[in-house]
Amino acid sequence: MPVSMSQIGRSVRRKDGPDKVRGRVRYTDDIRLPGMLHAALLTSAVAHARIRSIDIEAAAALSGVHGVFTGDHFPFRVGLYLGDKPPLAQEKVRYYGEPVAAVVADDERTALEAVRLISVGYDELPVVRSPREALDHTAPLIHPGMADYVHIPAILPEPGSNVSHRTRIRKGDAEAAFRAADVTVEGEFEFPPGDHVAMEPRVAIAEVRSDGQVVIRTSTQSPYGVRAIMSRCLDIPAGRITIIAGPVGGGFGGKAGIQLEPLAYLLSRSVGGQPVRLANTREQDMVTSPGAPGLQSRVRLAARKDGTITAAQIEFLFDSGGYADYAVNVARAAGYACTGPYNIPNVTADSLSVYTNHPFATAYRGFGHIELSYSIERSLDLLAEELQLDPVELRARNIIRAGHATPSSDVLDENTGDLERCLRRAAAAIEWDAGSRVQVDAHTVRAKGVSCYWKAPAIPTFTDAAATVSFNEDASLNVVTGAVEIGQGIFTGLAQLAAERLGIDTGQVHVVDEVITDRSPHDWTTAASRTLFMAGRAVLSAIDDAVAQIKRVAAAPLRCPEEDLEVHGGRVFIRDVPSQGLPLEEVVLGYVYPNGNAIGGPIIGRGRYIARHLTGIDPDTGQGRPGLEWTLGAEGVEVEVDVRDGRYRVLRCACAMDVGKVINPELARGQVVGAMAMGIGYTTREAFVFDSRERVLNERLRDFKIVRYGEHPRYIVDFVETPQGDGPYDARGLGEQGIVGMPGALASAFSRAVGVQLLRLPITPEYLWSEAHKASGASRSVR
Amino acid sequence: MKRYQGVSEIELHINGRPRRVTIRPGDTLLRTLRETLGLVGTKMGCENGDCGACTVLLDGVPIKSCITLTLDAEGRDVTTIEGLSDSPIQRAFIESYGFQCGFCTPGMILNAHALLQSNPSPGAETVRSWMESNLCRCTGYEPIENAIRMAAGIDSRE
Amino acid sequence: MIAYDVVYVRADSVDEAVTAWQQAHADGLKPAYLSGGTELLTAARENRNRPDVLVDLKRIGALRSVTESEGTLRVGACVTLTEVVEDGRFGLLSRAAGGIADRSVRNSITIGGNVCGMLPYREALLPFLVADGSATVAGPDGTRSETLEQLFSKRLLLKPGELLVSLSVPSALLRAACWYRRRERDARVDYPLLTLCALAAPGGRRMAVSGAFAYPLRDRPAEAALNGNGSPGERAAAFVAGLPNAIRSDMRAGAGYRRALLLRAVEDAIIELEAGS
Repeated sequence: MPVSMSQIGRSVRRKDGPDKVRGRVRYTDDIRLPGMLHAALLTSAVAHARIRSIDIEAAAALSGVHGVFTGDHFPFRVGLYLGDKPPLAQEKVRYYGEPVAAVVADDERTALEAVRLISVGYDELPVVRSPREALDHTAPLIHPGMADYVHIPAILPEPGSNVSHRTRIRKGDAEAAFRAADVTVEGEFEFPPGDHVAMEPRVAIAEVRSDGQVVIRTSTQSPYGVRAIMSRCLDIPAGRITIIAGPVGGGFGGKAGIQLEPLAYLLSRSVGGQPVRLANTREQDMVTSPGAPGLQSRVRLAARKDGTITAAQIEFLFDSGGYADYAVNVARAAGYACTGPYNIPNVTADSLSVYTNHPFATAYRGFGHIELSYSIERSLDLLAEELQLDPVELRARNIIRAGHATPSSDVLDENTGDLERCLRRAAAAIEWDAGSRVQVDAHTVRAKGVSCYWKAPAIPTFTDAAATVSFNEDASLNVVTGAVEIGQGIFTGLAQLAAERLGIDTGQVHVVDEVITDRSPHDWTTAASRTLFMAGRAVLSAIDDAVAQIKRVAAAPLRCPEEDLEVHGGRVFIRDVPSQGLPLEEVVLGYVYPNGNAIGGPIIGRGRYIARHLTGIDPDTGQGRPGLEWTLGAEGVEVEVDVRDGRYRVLRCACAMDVGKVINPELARGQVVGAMAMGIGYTTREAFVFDSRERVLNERLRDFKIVRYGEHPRYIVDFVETPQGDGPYDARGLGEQGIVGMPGALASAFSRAVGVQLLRLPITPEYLWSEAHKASGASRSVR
Repeated sequence: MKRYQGVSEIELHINGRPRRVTIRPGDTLLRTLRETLGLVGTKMGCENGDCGACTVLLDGVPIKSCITLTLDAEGRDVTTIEGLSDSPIQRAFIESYGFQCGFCTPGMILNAHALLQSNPSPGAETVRSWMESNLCRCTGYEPIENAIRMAAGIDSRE
Repeated sequence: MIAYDVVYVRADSVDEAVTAWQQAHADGLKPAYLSGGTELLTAARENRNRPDVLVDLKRIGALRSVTESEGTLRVGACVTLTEVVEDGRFGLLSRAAGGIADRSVRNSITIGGNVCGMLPYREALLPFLVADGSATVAGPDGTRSETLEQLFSKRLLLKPGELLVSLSVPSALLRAACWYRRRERDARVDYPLLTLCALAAPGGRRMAVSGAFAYPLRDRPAEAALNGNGSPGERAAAFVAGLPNAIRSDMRAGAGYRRALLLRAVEDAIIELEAGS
């Protein structure tokens, strides 16, 4: 089946489409195992308290209940990087929604009724409301036992404080540059924590088989991470754990790392190993399981009169909530990327992950870069205002390019994207030059904003991927990787890469859509926008390995040296005499001579990839090479605001991104548009609201709003293609990046509309109204 | 007057077929479909009537099955995603890339299908008033809008 | 899902429903009338409301229709919001009902459920308040019809065991000039920060408000300001100042913003109703 058209750059339809539109995809919670029991959780009604008593007697006595468990039953501490979190609260609770007790019962309704019968006595403790408050020396210590926690070397907790990690960046001499500066600006920014709101709530179904094998079906982005962390924290040999990850109903970082799996396992183990289903309610998915971190930040910029930025002093305080989880690494990534995509020679930055009594935070699409981008882009707007410079020109003047050094002093190589082109295109898409602020009528203003962003995968230096390729009788391929389908269409993308390499149709490539850790090859995690890049590299390498084997087998019947052979279009043939060859069907399972003799045997291609040239960063200066490949881009937005009541519409959102090479234009556009939509919600509404005791008030989707149908603006997506030489067919990651610049661009536009620099999120109509109200007296203009 | 207490057996009409099911009065249609009948294409996203992932059709009208008692469906025609195959809206969702993770898709498609059944060429405002009942976190809605326009035969280039 | 054991009674007539309620009550159980069920089911899932017996009214034919006779439009309590919107005879009601929740939930929510619910908004009542509507209720003591002026104060004043049969308005007011506005925190599908229904009746302008207060409100004494002299802005300010009720402040918005929305809505209503007359 030769295919002359390239598979790269084509909008191949999604392989999972027919099942998804018929509701036939089986997500984790669609599985019902024989003998499966159901768990339900009692969660904390307060944000910070000592647990005085737990009475489980009535719950345990309810018919149909197999067991009721509290923190005392499970003396473990689990954590991704820092082992700080008991599966069920021990001694005290540290955030509203923390699991306090669990019931396992025959069915869910019984489990839920039993939970109601548990009573907990709390002695409430003073609450820590923000990272800045947490740093005050009078603040209560949320983890007094921090010194005893186990952690990986890259994480630097500060026992005796509420700081779970601090990344220091010291590049050049910022102090001297500030002394020599023509102008300086300073801004303080903040926003509360929020949530991923993946449509599928998290669920894990765990069982312990009679031979001791732990088998967990879970909605995870990180099956191998779950295996490794469970092994480390719960003392189970890794080979005794099997994680099964089917399609995931949305991840956005919230299903990376470790989630419900340890507790589901402990519950199963406690009831004799029967399968136990532990499924979040939506409310638990919002507050009990981790969400997006909040932030308080401070940025100072020093610049020359012409707008050249000479130095930055930056402080990021990430609100990790009651536990550290991924937030420590989020703070680390935001630290080494702290300046955004600008060439700033002198940088001092401290990026901290700080405990508070908020729901805890994990990876969230953008992984610290939304937060840093918002802080930096707002600061650039302050600088533009101070210098009376056009915000687009100010950005263009300071853009980072190949040869420039990141805050870690890592010099960007030839694979660096063309950010200026992205910025110009994004600005053109919203017609920036036609006016960044237009008064439509007495009360209505249209205003625009731009931002630039960058993001590299925040990954361990040894981040890997692997693939195997085997063949069927029709010479079609089975591709097995450790990548998880979370909506991004990874199996379609991988099929395109494989098909391209073999010169066949993507329909001939079957990508196995379920990861089972004991038979799929290792893959770090489906996160950090690195899966197409790394799993893609592994698949290409596996195909190359298979092709070499095919040639070796075919060389004998074709009576020629292997190196004269070519595999393409479903055939293996002599390169210079293409008519002499064999269909792959006759080779891939072994070649059989006319007399019955056979050679070869089933071809199995093996491929692998591991990140290149990455290093840790210096604990005192942050210098090193933490970023594999930086994806650069720019965004432009236009909003319309009625200044009488702050009601607004987002009219246009443009994103121009240098992705190296577009593998599947529709899938790529879908990632970017989806990310921009999330960015609109992130900027305008998605934030937890707390009462005076830091209990979350909006834990239901009734109250925590995300963008709905009909609110969507016109999306303009534009790809620039500066090849990523080491990417699969020159591609680099693009899954997260579309969200990163949105808060900065939108806040810029809204600020321009109301005539006041808006510094915090979310930007609600009420906030716009109150700021416009304040500004209406003063005649201040925001450029 | 009919009274139900404890466990009872009732007959439902699902996707054109009669199905006898055992229920409790407090069971929601969502739970009965998923847990008793194995029709797991109907998704549980919030169990609070907010997200629309559980949308099914009752006598052709989209409702949220998580806040509907199974008993409310007695004597009425229930259509779940398993009851649609190769409808124009399903084809359009594939062609327009109207989904990513796919979790909201069954509810989204049933709602859009009902819309197009009641109004084969709806205006943008009508589409909005129907489709804002369903949340999607992945797509940003643009490709869903395109899918509906495609299925309705409306030129999507404006 | 209701996790606990609950009894369900499907009534075929109003009498049956009332009797079932009384019987459950007499047995020491907690009965509740059920119509659309959207609010009750969400509350029961979280144990915020745990009735023992659900008396379902939805299949009572008498509650399921909108009828007009003898100069009165009657809306049965179990007519869904979508049906009311599509009926269209009471334009202001169509608009108010169409603003509630989202469409696929409106396909379940009934007028009676919305009006008798526990939520503070109950916006479907506003058009009846401004149109001097009446309510028919049935209960252990039989059926009675009362004006909303008598029967409504922050909520419908139903006696234990009473259920709403219908709401009615004089046909003469169906075509009166009216005005409607609803404002949310950001997304349209949300509880309102403010819903305002205004009607230009022969005797003067009337307004009823939801969202701004902890209950739906029509304040007749304050309405005098709407029909007085002065600019629309001055009259709006006088009207709002005349409302004795505290403006709500909650996680969605502060009282200051709600007040600003209310002032502007009242002013716009006056301007547009005057322009139309």
